[in-house]
Amino acid sequence: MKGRKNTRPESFFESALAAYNQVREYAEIVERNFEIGGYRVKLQFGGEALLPIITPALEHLTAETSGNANFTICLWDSESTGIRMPRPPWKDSAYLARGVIQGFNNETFHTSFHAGSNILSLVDFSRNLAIFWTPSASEVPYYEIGAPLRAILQAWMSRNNRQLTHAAAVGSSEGAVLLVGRGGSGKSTTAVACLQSPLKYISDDYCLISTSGPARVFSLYNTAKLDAKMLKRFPNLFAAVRNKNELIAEKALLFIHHKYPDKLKKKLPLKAILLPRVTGKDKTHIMEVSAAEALAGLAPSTIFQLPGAGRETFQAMARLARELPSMRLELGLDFEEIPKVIGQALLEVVS
Amino acid sequence: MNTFDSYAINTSKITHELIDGEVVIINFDSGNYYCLNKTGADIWEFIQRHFPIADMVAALSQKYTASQEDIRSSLHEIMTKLQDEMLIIAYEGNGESNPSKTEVSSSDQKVPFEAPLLQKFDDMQELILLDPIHEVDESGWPRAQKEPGNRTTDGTSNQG
Repeated sequence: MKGRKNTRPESFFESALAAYNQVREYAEIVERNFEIGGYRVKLQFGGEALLPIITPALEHLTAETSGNANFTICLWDSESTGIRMPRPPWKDSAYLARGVIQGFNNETFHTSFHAGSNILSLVDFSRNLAIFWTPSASEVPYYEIGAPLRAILQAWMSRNNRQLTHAAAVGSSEGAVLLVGRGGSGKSTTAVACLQSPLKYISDDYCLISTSGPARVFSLYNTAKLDAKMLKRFPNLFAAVRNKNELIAEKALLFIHHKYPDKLKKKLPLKAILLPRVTGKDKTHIMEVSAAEALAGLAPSTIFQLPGAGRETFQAMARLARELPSMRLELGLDFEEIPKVIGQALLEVVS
Repeated sequence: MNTFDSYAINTSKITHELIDGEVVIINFDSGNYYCLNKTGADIWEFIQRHFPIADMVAALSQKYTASQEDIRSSLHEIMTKLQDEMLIIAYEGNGESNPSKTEVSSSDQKVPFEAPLLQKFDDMQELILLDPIHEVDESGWPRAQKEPGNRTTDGTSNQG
């Protein structure tokens, strides 16, 4: 690329890191520590503008004390700090599907740019170091607040025996079920319906699953998203909605940690895969389905949403689908019945 | 359908897993994903081993109770679909051609023939095709334009 500097992923990463280090000279560095997927993750914010964007969804995973981090993420935005990111050294044609930057991803580096959110995500796997940058914290879309750092966490966690997964998860002391399926299948409704039951809540939209050893699910974000129409079925949750004034254009975004802190469970052994389906009938039922159907419900929405998720992600999910029983959860209109059916299914699976 | 001597999986575009006798396939380029039933999974295995069509018919006839004519017709139909979806491509090497090497021995009882079925799901297609119109600002970075109306959710369009 004639005239372009930093044309290799390593040199661009260094130039981005140099920009972050400039931020340190002009803005306060605010540190937050979290336990994510069993790992200590340190977030170092250049200035405070990104704190209310990134931290609320992770709040329930706040580490009690600071310590040696397994993974460090440096974050800043240019608007509040005045420090720009160096110009991209790649051509416009390098922006591939899911934000992957052609030529800037290899065994050591991840580089992606989510154009819809204006978020650049860089990871240096050799140093367990990442950079998160956006031009303006104030322009970050609401959905990033509900599920922040997805690209960075997908990239690093997938190399550390954890797979970021598009799934809801709820459970009991017996273990957890993974709720999977395409949009509109009822995953979020099912997860939220369990909040007023003895079942514990792990996730709505994304969670982490182990890819080695016994199957486990880890909480990642304490958020839930419901469309405005479904929110009416849960009137007691309205006070927990963060974006009350935007419900015509956006799904309701709820922070479960604020409303139901005792309901959140950070991790559980994974016992079954459930595929919810809205039936419009009165009663909720469970029926067995094939592992292939479970895999088809589980894998595509994760793979097609997350940059860098590919064959290895699919293989990890196939292992899970082979290992765990799979069932279809035929959702009835009585929401109080749903967690009872799930609880009973868990008892039967573990017995 | 373009007819070739034998075929191969189009591995440059897709990934696949055999799971409990069925096959799940993901096409990274198109955003489509597929399920093949048990008969389809048999055929998928034959394709992986580059069986000529005639040998696929022979192998399926060993396993299933249907006539060769019915099998040939169903096979033609599924192969056409697999080609149309760009899941398989022509194979120009030397494939396996001895049906006796299939896992079905002549002493095994034949099972009823269920036509091979390729289920296609395209609900994820819009995620791959999603390309927010962006202009590059003076810093060189793209800035997404806000689209009117229908981008209501998490950039993944009604996921959740």
